[in-house]
Amino acid sequence: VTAQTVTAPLGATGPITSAISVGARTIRKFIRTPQLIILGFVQGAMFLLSFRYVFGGAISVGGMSYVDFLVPGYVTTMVLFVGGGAAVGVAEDVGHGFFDRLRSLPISRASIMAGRALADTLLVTWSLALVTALGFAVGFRLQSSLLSALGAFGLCVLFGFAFEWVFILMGLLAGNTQAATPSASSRARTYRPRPCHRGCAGSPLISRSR
Amino acid sequence: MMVNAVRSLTDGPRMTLLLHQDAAHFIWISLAWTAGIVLLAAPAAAITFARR
Repeated sequence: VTAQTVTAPLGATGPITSAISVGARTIRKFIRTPQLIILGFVQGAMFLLSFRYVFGGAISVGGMSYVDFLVPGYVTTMVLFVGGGAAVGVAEDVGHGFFDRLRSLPISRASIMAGRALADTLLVTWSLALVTALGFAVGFRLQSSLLSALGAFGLCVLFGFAFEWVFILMGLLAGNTQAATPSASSRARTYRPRPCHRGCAGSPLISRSR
Repeated sequence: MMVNAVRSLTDGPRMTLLLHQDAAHFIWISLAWTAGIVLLAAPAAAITFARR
């Protein structure tokens, strides 16, 4: 048996380094889960196409093109649609003990959250870029300068960063994935299959609210 | 306010006529909201994480 010498770490890792490490881990996880990329985009595209082509004809916007009114508003609200994933991700990390492992390290607590917020903001930016491109594809045209449009996009990213903190807080308070997805859990409650006993030949999807 | 700010920036003068305010008005209010949200939620998240 050989004795092994364990040396103590030289010092705490800097907050920027730890924030970058946590952020990079979040982005790697996102890239390695292509369902998140594809389904997030499909959901965004589906809503945009619905509002553009299904409900578009029924809505009148005072003297301007409906699509020019719709797309900027939709892109802004996408921040909330996409950002909600952060609450689920954080709740998942809490549930799997990832944060407990980080807490045992000599790193700043706030930097862990900052890394997570920055990484999720990057993911929101990616989704916003995709939906904006789709907006142009369905007929949206800029009525102002390119600089103003870039300013609008930057403003959306800034909103994304601000709301990421709210979603991170929600994920931490929720503590588990199901609680962090209020919409999904309410749907699950409403349409939870009831145990089918003898003589039950109806639909398996029975509203629980009845 | 945030949506109006983005609409004012992308739709230009037409949106100013529709909303009766210029883009700068909505941008400042949106930035104030953004700062307020970050100032409230970021420390709250950090404190919640530290106390768990």
